[in-house]
Amino acid sequence: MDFKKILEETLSNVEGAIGAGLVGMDGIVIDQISHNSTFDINAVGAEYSSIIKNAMRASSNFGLGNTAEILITTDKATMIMMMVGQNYFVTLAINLDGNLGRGRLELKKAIPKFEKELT
Amino acid sequence: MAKDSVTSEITELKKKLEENPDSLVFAPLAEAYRKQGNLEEAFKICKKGLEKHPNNASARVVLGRVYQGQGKVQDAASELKKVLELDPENLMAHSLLGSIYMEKGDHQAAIEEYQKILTLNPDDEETQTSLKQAIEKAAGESKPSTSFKSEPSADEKRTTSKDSTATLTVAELYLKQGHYDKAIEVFRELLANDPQNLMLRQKLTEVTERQQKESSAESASSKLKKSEFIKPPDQKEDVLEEVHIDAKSQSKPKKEDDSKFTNDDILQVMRRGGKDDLVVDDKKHRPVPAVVTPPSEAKTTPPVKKDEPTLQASQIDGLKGILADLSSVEGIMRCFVTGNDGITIVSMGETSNNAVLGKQAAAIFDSTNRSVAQLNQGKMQQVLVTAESGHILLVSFAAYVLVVLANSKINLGLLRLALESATKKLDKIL
Repeated sequence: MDFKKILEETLSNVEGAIGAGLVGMDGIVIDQISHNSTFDINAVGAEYSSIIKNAMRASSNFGLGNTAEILITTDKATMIMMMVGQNYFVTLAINLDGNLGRGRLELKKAIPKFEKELT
Repeated sequence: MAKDSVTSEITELKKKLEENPDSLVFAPLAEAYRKQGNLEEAFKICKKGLEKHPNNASARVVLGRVYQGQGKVQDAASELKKVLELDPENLMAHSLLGSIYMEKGDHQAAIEEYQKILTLNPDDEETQTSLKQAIEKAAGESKPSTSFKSEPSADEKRTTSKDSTATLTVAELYLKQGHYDKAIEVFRELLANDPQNLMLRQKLTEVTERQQKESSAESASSKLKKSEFIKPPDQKEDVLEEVHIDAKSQSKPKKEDDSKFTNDDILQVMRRGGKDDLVVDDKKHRPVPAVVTPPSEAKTTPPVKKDEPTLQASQIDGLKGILADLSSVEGIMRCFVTGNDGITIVSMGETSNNAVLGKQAAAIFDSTNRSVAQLNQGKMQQVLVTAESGHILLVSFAAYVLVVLANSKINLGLLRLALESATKKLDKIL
């Protein structure tokens, strides 16, 4: 199973999903899929990576251990980022009226599949 | 209630560590044992965890605190120094080291630690107070304390650095008083100790140029021309001998009445730590340079945004009400509102280290906000970070950040509802 297929499956199961991508902690995008031209991880992979690193700093500073998930709400969308192992993360962007709970669930289901592909 | 919550936290964290012995959860678990007063167990867990994760700064801070609690001050200091090697901006480690140095009577070293904190967080009032006390104690000493002298010779290098910090402080105080010639002398002494320090060199040049501009008629300025202090380092040795100022004369200039430093003077100088721009002393219309900071520290100082509105008493009361409502949600451990400069305005629940955490939360929010701005997905409003043993929620409103810390058992749906209500109230208040 290739990465794009897992991303497509995730995207198609979430109402209001805009796009999804698998990114390395170094900011290099492994694969991505988008239903909206505003969502292009390729151009901003490093920014996603920077967000994850900030979250890791926050978790560490507040003494909460390893970061597992980040949820960012903007005035246009909600972005979920979840760690895939220690070196990768998967992100999913959803419209504000999209199904956030479903988005988190589908990402959680996708993680073991990514991990399997990455090992 | 606090004891119960620590016990339940321990149970939960212990379970997690049993499930995954490689987890980083050992650090919060050790901290929970420490809070409970079980220093022996905290020590064991820290030591074991650090064997697997030797670079975990949080765990080393906990270990430092455990040693401190056990009265092993030397071990605590050595552990905290390791933390600073891993993470030079760890405010907690600087703060704990400062308190350890104070306990030891090593006031100069404490001053250095407190200055580093204020460079990162200039408005940290707690540290300002500690620094003031350290300066007062250091000024009252005619020579370094015996405990300071009895340090091992390996600390020789650090001693020089501590002396330099005290002298730098004095230079700033002289500048504040407008005594450029004295400040320049101190800068020259510093340069003699550290000829490669470009920041000092630049500072000295700036001060001298300013002195020449402002009071070209004064004879004092003619003694120290720019060409004098851009000599090669090897010609600096005699300068050090010439301009020796002992701790007492450094902190208490005696010639004129206006050269005596008040506590306010000391605090004003310290408050400006890390801000590189010049401010004008309104009373004397003299430009006053900020504290010299190494480039690495200056670079990491978050920008202080000046457009932060001042809150009225009624608005603060309103914020308190909102935080009280939030903290009633089961699972919320603490919540506080911080300015975008990291100063805590209102807080509920546990309040220890709010100043440090507020600063860090504001910096993280700011940095994340800048990254999100590049994603073409609109303006950031909320960040929820889910970690092994809890959640951190950062919500932006006006020029402030609401920081909520919740345990891992919290119902995220309820939290979001509570936040929705809080946000609406915040909009009304502000």
